[in-house]
Amino acid sequence: MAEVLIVDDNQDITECLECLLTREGYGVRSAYDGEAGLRALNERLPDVVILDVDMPVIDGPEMAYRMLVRNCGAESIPIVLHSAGGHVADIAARVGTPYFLAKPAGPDELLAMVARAASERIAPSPPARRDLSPCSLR
Amino acid sequence: MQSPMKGVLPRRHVLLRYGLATVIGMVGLLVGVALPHVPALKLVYFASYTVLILISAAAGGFGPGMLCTLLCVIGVAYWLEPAGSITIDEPAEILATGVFVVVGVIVSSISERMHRAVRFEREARLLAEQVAAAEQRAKEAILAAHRAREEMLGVVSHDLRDPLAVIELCAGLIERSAGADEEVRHRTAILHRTARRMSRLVHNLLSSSALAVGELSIDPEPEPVEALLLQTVEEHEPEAREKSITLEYEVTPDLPKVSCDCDRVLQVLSNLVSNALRFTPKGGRVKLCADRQGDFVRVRVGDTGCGISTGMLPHIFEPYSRERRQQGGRTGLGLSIAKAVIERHGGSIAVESQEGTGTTFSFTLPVATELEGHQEKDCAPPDKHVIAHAWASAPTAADRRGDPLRRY
Repeated sequence: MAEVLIVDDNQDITECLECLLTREGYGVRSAYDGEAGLRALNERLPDVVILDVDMPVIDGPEMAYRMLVRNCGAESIPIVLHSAGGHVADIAARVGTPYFLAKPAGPDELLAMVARAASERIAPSPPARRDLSPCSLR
Repeated sequence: MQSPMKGVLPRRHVLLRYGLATVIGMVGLLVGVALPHVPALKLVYFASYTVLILISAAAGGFGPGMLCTLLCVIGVAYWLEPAGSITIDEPAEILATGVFVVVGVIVSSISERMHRAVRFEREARLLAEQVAAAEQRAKEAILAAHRAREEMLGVVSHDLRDPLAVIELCAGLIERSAGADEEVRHRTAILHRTARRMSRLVHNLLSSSALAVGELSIDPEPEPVEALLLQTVEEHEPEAREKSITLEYEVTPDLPKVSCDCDRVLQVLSNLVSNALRFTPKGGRVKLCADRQGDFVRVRVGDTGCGISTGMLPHIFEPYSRERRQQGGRTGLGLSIAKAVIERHGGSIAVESQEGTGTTFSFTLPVATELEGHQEKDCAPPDKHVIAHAWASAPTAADRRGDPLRRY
């Protein structure tokens, strides 16, 4: 079964998502900010990432950007944006992922979105990608 | 209030004004004494004196003008026959002197009036500038207050949505653990319903705030009405089922697409349907219909609920109105937002109601023209679980905070 990495600074949400996804048979790991999320990616690449937007240290879009430019496999992982702020659709469009949910999303919506991301495996492709220069690679 | 002076001295410079007039007058006097008496030059002489008086009066006003006139008269008297003495004997010359004084008075008066007019004009302009500046500051203060409120609401809404998400997820988890336990499912349904209502309220708060600063964006595209109604019905189905209310929709065949902002109209429909469900008792019916009315498509949301009192009806679209509260109606922003959104689309919204029988809200949206929107937004999700909550709204402080899109 697919593995999901949850990146969200709200521990209650993370715990609920872990519980929900584990019941459905997914393997689950969690990180509480973008930096921890990137470290988790270094250890092992998941099949799907559920990514919050507003987080300390490194926020969601910044983490998505670094996944993109690392060029070590992380750029092909589908991202499900899961945000409490407004304009989730716009942020998702800029990050380049078709998978997004605005909090509070119900468990059914969440599971359906994760299942869709895991089966379709559409990686993020931001419209600004062509502007990335070699010096932005880390 | 200081008037900036360019050749017109302010009132407070008394010494300067009279001093200048004295100097000019003395010049005139000395010229009169020194100049030889050439009768042919009489008019030239008088004209030049008039100019001197004009200058004194223009610079200083009536008083200095008259002082200059007086000094020039002495010069004139000296110059006239008999030359060398300031006595005047001949009637003609007395008359000439008299005329000269009168001219001096007239020139001084006219200059004084012009002097005042220029001064008043300057003062009025300064006042107008100050008023405009004060107005501008007031406008900026109001806008700053609105933005501060919007920012606060953005932060608050963001901070409210996380706990709401936890409630929704936990309710879902409890449901799954409860299996077939009807009572538990009933309670978790209430949790879901309440969390969604709170989420709707937060969304309405943000929209209302964005409306107040004129920032509620409407992005119309051609959309099929049936898809909008279907999505609304599906979203509210669980709530309707809980209250055993029949929730259905009907559209006339071949209904044209409408030009609308999908997310905003879904917000309107959601507000109307949730109101309908709230005020309709168990076993009742809520129906959505759509039909064409000329260049518009009319959508109606009707219920068999308790109706709206005649006292409250005129105020139904006002936000938080005192009349609504007094009549016992719900306070809320949903209907005022609905009205604003529909009117921004170029449509209109109306309500018909009868107490004890039911209420019907109806609104119109313009039919989409062929030239509009070459790109259709996929508003009717084939995957119906996806977008119910993904309403785009005005950028919140949470989005702007730290500029999460700086990389893109």
